[in-house]
Amino acid sequence: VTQPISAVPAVDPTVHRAGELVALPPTQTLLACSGQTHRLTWSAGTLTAPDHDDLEGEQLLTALGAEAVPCGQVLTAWRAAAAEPRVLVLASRGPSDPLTAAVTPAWAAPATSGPAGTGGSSFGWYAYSPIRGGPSGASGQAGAAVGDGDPADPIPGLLRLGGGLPARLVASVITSWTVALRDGTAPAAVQPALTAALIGRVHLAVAQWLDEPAVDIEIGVLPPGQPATHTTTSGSHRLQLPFSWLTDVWVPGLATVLGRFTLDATARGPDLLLDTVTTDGHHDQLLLRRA
Amino acid sequence: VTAGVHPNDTPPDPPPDPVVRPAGVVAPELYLRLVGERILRKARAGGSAAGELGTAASALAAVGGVPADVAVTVLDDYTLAAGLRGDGDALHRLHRSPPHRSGTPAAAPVAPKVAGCRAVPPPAGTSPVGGSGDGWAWEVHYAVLADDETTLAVSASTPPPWEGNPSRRGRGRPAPHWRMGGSGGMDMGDDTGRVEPAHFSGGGGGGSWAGHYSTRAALSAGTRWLELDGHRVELIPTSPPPVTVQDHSEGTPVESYLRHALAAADPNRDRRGGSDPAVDALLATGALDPGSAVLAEYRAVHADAPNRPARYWQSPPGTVMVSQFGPFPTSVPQPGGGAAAEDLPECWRSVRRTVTAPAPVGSLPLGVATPLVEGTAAVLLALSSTPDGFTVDTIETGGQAADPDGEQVTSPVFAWWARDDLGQWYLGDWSSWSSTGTERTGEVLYRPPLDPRARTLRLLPTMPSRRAVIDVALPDWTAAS
Repeated sequence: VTQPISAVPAVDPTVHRAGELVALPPTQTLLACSGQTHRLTWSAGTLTAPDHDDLEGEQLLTALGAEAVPCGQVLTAWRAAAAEPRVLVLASRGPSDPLTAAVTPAWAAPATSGPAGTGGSSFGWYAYSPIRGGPSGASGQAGAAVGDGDPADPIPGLLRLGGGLPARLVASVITSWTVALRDGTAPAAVQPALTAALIGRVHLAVAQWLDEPAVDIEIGVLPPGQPATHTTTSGSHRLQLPFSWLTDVWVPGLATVLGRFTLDATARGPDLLLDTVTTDGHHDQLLLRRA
Repeated sequence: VTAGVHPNDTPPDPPPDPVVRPAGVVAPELYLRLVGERILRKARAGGSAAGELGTAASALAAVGGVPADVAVTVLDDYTLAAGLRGDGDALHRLHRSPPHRSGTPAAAPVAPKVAGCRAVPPPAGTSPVGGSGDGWAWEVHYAVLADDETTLAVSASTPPPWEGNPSRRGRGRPAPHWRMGGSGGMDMGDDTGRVEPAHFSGGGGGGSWAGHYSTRAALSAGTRWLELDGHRVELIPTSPPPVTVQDHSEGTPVESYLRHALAAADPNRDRRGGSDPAVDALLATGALDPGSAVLAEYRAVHADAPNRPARYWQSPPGTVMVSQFGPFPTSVPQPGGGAAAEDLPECWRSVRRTVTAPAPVGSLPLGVATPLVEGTAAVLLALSSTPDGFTVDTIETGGQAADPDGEQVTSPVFAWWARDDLGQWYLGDWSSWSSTGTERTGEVLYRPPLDPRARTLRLLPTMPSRRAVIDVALPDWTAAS
């Protein structure tokens, strides 16, 4: 029996176009848990811990005072973060933006560090340590962490999980808010965070596309459903994109393809049709065909 | 997966109006987050620019552009994000932030009793307090008779050690160690016979030391004299000067904030880059009109500031303020980078006047507390005039102590204006201080030096809209010293 994580209950993956969560390939990572090495598996928007026969029952025992198991801690934290805009603030903006600090989440710390016997919620105690100059490494990073962090903040630990899970968590958050914006249910208070999340990622993608870290670019945010546009004048670029660009283009890793910047991606059956623009402003369409 | 290329010769439709207009005014929270995104770009490059975000967040929170808790959340999140990218300093800042976030004190402080001091000549052959034993000339300035401790403010000075003996030049003189308490401190007693150990805090170097002897339990608040290590000091009763509070707001909250920020900012604050994060934030969010008089005033003061390099006006015209995130209205360049003296507000012209008359030297007990003024209050213990300026021993509570590095969301603290009966202005700044997070204690140094012709001095601890007014009658300094 596995513990399903309904990453974003409001999301029906079938209604999405190119960037639906189901389009991301399944992945897994390993986690030290209960004296063994357990798998955490993500597939089509769902995170599970398949090595636990009855994780739900274990979590009930945790609520009664038993020590929380790391797999359960991760799944609980994942569920809480799966629609949390703050994930987009902390998470990587793209491959050239790795998180390099070591993070020691509660599920990787000695059991005595948590409030054992107080009813469970012992996850969330972190230590952070910068590792200057190194790329993102394997999950865990135990041993190098120093200092202490916010005991109620599990997001940094989730973002340092291995196996590409952080990208899936980010995808869940982005997909959740794409739907909410489309349906008009996103509260106004979250708009600044979503807009900044889009602009920060677009900027990095354009900088990589042009190989120009200090690129002069103006970015506008469009309402849901509006087509993305790009204009260039005298070396400066102007992009206008809806938040759904993140879901349809950025999450699947299609921001730049064959030297082109992708403005939009739509499904054509099993294939993807990309609306792209070249650095000199010409518009192309690319068809990504599943072999 | 295979890829095919299909040229699209059809020009795209004209772009519709965006919901967020990056070329126009930006909502304050979004502005802060875009500054945060820029910080992350710098963090990725191995740099750190958290100060920009903290300063911008403080400005927008101060003028009501964004709730303070939102400003704190944005700053903390982006600081953590920078830390996760390897900015170790960011994590340290994050971890030390909470204790520095003090709130408004529940009530105004009560000033302790402060008395002037006069040292009693010691018996022949002994070393006096306020005298010149052991080669040091001692002076006792004032006594603070608080509920929880008793304090004597002292200073010691001596001629340079090479004076009269050129061969000793460069060796320096050892500190008056035993006078500073050494390892065991000294005893302080009162006229009731109570004696408490007193310990020295302070410092100095070369030929000048200054500090306080304080007991850990209060001596009698009604005592007529104190004895320090057996040397008697007579206390001279004084009445605290009157204090009132007045409204001085001019214009909008943003204008009040900027005028206050000019005087209250740490002289070293925000001087590292080529822009002013606070002004840029106010401009970008539409809180400040680029053509406003207060901005011209702000720039004129900065341009004229001695030892304060010109900042935002050094950017070329049209510079994108939040670089690469859209052409937000930015600090408008000021050709020449300077300002004529006549462009300065009168108080700033006065502060930067040339002083020729030697300032008086001496101390004056104050013992006055301000009411809460926009969430901040101060206790002013004593004033000391020196040739370099005059100082006021001060305890400030409430507000958010100015953060020189712009790493936290701060709230306004006092700007230390003063004006004499000749109409001349003075401006103070903390010259030495310690902080507990809720209270800052130390010395505010006012400049220029006090005019010897002045007979009264109006101390004006000033917040953006209101200020305390403390009228101090100045003594005959010749007689006092």
